[in-house]
Amino acid sequence: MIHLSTLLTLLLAGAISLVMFSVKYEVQDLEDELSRLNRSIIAERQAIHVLKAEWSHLNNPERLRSLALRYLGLKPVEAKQFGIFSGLPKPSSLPEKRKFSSRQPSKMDPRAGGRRAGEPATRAAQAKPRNPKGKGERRPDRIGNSRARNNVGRSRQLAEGKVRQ
Amino acid sequence: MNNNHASQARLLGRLFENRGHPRGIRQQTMEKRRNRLLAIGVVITFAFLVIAGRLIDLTIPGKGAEPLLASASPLRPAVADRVGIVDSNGIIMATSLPTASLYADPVDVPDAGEAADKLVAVLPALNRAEMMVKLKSTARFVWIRRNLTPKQKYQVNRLGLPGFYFQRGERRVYPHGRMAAHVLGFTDTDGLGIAGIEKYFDNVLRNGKASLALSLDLRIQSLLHQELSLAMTEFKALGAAGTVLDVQTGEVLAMVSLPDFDPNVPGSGDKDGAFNRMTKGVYEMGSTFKLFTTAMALDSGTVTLSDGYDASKPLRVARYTISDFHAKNRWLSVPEILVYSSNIGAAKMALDVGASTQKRYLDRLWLLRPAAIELPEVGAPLIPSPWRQINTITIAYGHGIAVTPLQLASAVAALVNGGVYRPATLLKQRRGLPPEGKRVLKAETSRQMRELMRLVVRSGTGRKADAVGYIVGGKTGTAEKVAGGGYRNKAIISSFVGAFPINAPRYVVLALLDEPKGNASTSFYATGGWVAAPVVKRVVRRMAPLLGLAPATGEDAPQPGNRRLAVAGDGSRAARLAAF
Repeated sequence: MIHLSTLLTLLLAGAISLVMFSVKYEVQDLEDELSRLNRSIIAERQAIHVLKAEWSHLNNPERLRSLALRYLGLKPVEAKQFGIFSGLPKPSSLPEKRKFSSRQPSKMDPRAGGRRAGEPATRAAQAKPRNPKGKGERRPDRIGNSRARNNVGRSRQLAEGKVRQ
Repeated sequence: MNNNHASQARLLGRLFENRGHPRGIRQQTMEKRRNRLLAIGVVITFAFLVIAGRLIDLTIPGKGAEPLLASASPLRPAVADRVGIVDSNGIIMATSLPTASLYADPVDVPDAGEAADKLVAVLPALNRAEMMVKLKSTARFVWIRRNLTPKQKYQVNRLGLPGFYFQRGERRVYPHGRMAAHVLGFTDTDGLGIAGIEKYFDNVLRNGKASLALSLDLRIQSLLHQELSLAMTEFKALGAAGTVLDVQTGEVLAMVSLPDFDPNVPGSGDKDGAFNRMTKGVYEMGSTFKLFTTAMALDSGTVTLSDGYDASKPLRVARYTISDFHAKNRWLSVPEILVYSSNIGAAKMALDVGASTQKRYLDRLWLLRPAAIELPEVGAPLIPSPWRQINTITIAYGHGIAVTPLQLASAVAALVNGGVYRPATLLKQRRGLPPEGKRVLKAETSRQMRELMRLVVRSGTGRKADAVGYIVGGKTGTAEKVAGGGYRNKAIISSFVGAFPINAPRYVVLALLDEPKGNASTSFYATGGWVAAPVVKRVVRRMAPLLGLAPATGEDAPQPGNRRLAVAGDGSRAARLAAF
């Protein structure tokens, strides 16, 4: 009887120490991982901090302005380019067939600055051969330049009255 | 506890009881021992129970024990020791970046010559001779180079030189360079604020948790900087200054002083660059002061808009003769005095107002005290003492008193915003309630001043500031610079201060050029109306869409056939025409 209980106790103690042993090492591994993660969080934060500064530097208004001037051909907004809703013509004052319709969304009023459907597509089709070597050969660093060329082409079209504004 | 004591007492009681009974000695002794054993056993059992209880208490999760979920060890809250500075939209204007600085312990360097050769190859900015001196010294610490780039650090590391170490450091970086140099200021190599906001808020920046938000709007700052630079180049001016103020809150949206410097490399560039003309420079402002003269005359009831003064011949006071630049040589109404910028008229008006009232109003408009702005570089205005009659006269048209451009802009903001003075601030204010201000003029006077300022731009000296669509009102100023006790005729300060939209002002824009030279495009004029007003116009035109201001419709709308109203000789008519 006594022998059995002693044996059981010893077994229990052995089992418990084994469990303790494995748990201890598990915890040690977890703590290692935790500190590794903490270190990497700090490193990431550091990197984010530096990147934020770089982002701010890259968004410098003067830099953006010169880039926009080179590649986009955009200009500051003029007062006359603003419109308000009350300044638009009333739908009732428009000719009957040019009214907006959900069935024929293509028939937009040209006076409102819209284009008829089909037109942009055909123009795009016409525009493609103008730039034959564009597709395969274009190097990444030339994207901006080719865009600028397209703009030049577009403004020439504008000047010749080919493009409806 | 009580139970134990009770049982112990019972036990002792039994021991004493037993003493009197006639039993065998051996039996008695045995019983005594058994009882002792029992008592000890009880005490030990109790002790073990306490330990077991404590063990359970510690191992069962809960209060005071290990938390169920492990939490990450607290990270350092801030990445940098010094917090950044951002503009009102949260764009970083100054930040501290971690860098590595290289130092050496010469005792640990085995071969100074070889080390110097290798380092100079990697860091060409180093001087080999100086390096040798440093590396042969007996000190245990010498700086080799501070603030290496990550690439340089890698290259130095690759050399694998013994005796060289890196020290983690910080470097202040201004991503937008010289754009807001005078506002931001700069720091020294140890990260201590030396000028500007960096100095004024040095403690806040060093101990703060979050970035310091300024009232500046980088977009507006950038375009003001650009327009002023262009004007300065075009008119070959010595310097330029400008600001944009929010009239309701006093927030400075932009503040530029040229020439400037790059805060990333302080000390480089123009020796004049560190001087902040907006807050430190005091100038005689010239005709823009006629706004204050007119405002105080109207507010104190000295004149009404239909009154006028004879400006047909120059005014002679003591040994001075006051004449008009745009002379009309006739009777001028109060609006006309402002529109044609008549010195004679303004002087006569100031004489009617009187010196003490003039002084009181100027003091209320904070023109006699240094501006209360969050910068260490603040100039005190130059005020005449004693305040003689001739001073009253000259101050009426902005001579004989020198104030900073910022003071002028703040005072004009009070003139147009309904008559409430709020000191200019560089810190972002909370949206909603405007900050507490001090009433300096009646609301009605402010309304009249807005009409007059509009009239100046529509029909007077400030026509070149008329940005179509954004109803601008303002006043030109041209002042001769003081030099060697007298005025120099060819050296002038030309300025324009405007507010828009003048029917419900939101912003005050000021542009000032120091010694501009006229060119063919301005018919060789260099007055405020020719050189500074166009700057304000361009700034207004570009900043209004950015700030979400729609162009005005109606009479001032950008449409053909917009009438230009001439000012008639009759003052009341002029005033009526100015009303919109």
